Amino acid sequence: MAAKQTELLRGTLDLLILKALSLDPLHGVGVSRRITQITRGAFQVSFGSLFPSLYRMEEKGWVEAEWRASENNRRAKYYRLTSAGRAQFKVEERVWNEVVKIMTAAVEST
Amino acid sequence: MPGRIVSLFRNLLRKKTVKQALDDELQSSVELLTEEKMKEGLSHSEARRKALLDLGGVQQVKEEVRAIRAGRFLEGCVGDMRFAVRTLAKSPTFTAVTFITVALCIGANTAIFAIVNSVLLRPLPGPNAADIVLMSNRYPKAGVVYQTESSAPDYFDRLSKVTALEEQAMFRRVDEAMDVNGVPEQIPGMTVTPSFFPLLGVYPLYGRAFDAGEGESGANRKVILSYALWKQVYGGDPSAVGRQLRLDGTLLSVVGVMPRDFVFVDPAVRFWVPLAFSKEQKTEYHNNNWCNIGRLKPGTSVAQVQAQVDALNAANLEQFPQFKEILIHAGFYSKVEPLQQMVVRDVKDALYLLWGGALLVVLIGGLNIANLALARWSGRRKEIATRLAIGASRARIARQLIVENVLVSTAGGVVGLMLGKGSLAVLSVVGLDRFPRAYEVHIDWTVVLVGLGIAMALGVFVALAPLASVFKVDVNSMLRSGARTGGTGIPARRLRQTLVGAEVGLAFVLLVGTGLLLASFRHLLAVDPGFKRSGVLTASMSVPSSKYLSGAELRQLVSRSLEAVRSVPAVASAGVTTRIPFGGEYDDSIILAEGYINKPGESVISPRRLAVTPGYFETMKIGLIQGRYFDERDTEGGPGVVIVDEQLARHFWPNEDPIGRRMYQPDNPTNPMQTDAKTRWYSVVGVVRSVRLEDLAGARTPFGAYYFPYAENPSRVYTFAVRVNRDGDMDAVTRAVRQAVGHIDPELALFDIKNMEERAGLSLSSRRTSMTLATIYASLALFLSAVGIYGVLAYLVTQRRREIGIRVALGSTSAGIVSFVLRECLLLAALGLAIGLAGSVAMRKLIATQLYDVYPLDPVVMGGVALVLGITALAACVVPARRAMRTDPMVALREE
Repeated sequence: MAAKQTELLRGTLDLLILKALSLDPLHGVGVSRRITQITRGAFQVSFGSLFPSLYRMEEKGWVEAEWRASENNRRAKYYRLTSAGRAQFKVEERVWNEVVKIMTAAVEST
Repeated sequence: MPGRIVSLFRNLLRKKTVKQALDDELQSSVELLTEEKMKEGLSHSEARRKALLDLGGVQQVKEEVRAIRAGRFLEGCVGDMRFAVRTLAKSPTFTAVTFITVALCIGANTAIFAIVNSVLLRPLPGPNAADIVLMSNRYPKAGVVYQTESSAPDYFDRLSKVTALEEQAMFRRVDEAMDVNGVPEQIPGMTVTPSFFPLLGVYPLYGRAFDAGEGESGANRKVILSYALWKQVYGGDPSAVGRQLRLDGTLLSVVGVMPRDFVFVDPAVRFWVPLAFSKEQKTEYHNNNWCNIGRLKPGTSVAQVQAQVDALNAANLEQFPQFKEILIHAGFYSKVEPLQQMVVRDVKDALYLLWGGALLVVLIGGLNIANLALARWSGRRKEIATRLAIGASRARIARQLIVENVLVSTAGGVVGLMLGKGSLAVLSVVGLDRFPRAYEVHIDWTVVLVGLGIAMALGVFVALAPLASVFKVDVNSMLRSGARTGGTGIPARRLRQTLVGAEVGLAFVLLVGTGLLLASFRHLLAVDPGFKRSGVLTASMSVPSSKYLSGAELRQLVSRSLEAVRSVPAVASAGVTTRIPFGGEYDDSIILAEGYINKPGESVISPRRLAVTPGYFETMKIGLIQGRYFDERDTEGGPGVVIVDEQLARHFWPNEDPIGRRMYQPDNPTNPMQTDAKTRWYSVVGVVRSVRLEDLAGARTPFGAYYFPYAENPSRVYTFAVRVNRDGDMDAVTRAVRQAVGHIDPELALFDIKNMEERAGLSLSSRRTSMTLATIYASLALFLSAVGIYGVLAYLVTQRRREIGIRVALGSTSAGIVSFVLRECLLLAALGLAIGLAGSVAMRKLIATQLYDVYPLDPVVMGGVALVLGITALAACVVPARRAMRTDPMVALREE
């Protein structure tokens, strides 16, 4: 299992969480699963990193949490992006694209 | 980041709910994961196990979340504090010793700092009093250095030329006789120019301040009363304003009453009268009789005023060329300084030095508890290593250590502040109530904050040594080695030795300082003041000018009074002087000797001038070296005579006989050195012993003194000196003298009635205060260093029990064991002495100004201190040495 986990770039995790939550609200386990899914299994986020990030985002006001019934009728804490969170997502997305462009050009330059 | 702040509050206030929410969330996540695994076909228990594994440990996740949460630091500190209280309670001795040490140190520091703060640091009372400056004329080479006054023409010149000041005033202390409810009393007051109150910015509670016109002779029969005098005379009746009051025999109308809290420089002052300069006074430069103050214009500085005053003086030098050379040779200048500096000048150095002593005590106490903390730390190394091993971060442990020490020291600091406050109340015992501004001394926020700040700094300082080792701890080796052996490493021992060595060294410095003060004081007490002070009663008199205006009237009054006093039973002799030794007031005036030619650049001199009646020298037992004392021959009309003291005689006639030489005072305004037909000549008829006039140290009379017959120079203010027979009762004589004087004129009141012993004691009071406080600090330091040495030795013996046990088992004698402890003890003492000697050499300049006739590195004092410290060190090693001797080898060896 450890072999499958790629070390996440610092800062990438926030973007992935924002991306995961951008479609619809999810609980913690759901966020983890969604990230595995959208990265096609490349990233498995440890809960030791995920929960602190979620709490930090909550404190920054990017996400809101709410207890409600899960699909299996269990109570779970669901996270939803706030408008500030959406704005942050846009920012991080743009920054990421820039980084990728620059890095690609840099790596491919001869 | 308001969101974060909101979270911070929520996290702190609703800690329980937030924690609960995290627990719930993790719980639900475990369940969600378990369900997932069960769907993959695992059994419930297997699925749950896998789920927990996936989550990576519930506890770890919680820690991680907690680590990023806002307010975590504060929350952690509260936790640390709770933990600290528990650990501290577990070692009550350490806690108590630390607490008591800090309390004593802060107590000692608070008392003296409250005084330093109130007297030296805080501005004088009154609106923007820090902007008030004092201008005073000095003639250092003529022997006039400490003067605080200026002349009237200086005042008028400065009014127009010194533009950096927005307001100026002159004032002078006057004591006047007043009838208070039927009893004649001498009341201290001040004569002030009408600009005085506007300058201070303080106005009467009732009535008004003086009008500008009331500063002219004729219009100045007005008085403003202090609140206290108003209560005393008028019982607090506001209609007192406008009434008439007899002061100094003259009727004055009361124009105002000052507010209760108004104090200017001297709290004894109880009335103010307008100062009106006479025509002559207005033109007499260098007739320095009044204090000249000014208020700085906003944005100007003392230096600007000084520059303008200097320029003015330079211009005046050119304007009066006949004085130019004399003034240049005398080193004439006008000093501009904040008024506050003048007020506190006499005690400033002593107070700072004492504060330094108190800070040394704080440092010694700090070293002591640092040492203690280090010993305790070595007992806790295993605990700390365990905590590090199971994952506590070093930063967290460091914080824990600091919180623990700061907690004790702050608690000690609070108690120390209370101790300090309490000791302020009894400081009058050591004479601090006689310091300038003593009435203002109190504890304000600065004192509290400085006290607590020092206490907290002590706490951090004490934690430093253990902290350093926290970051060096090798967890593995520490856990493996035995718990006790942890602290015996050479570096830890060296550190403790150094700490105690430094402590002993600082105590040495403090003890030397105290020893020097004590030695100075002893020398001062042994000083021969030039007169015999036992059995002499003194009492002053200020005669109203309204009743006794002419010299003849004064002469007659004085001789009649003296006759009456001499007829009192038990009075051996009596005389009158214009200035009594140690009376706090002095006159000086230039005097020249016929035929004495100043060397090039040599200044004329302005020795102390006194006028005395026949009988004064005999009464004071001022020794006659040559010639004769004054007697009835020396009257105002007769040939001029003068008596000089040996110091002045040596100045003018170093190798010749002074008797019969002629002297004169410069009074020719066009050529002061020139004599003419009008010059009044004084023949020297006697040479007397030099007398210490200011205090026993006598540092301020560089050129001695000369005496005129009182008849030649009558003064309205004079002092009786009365020698009482050996078996006479001082109190009875005092009463009889009072009566005798009252009999001649019931309106006259004696004041400042003291015997010469009391005056000598008072003149030493600030030195006595310094010495007493220094002795208290030194005792504290000595005690603390004894505790420090004892601590190191006791710990050493406990640590080396096993080694000692083996030595005993192998046949080592008691002497051998004792010498083992003694060696350590002597090492500490030697280290302390070395540090102390170096410190004393470094500090010798600081204390020099406070000493009298003692070299700052006086070998007797140094040797005495070394002896005291050595004995203390030996005493401190008695108990550890005995414990070492009694070590039972079997018990010691079995212990580990």
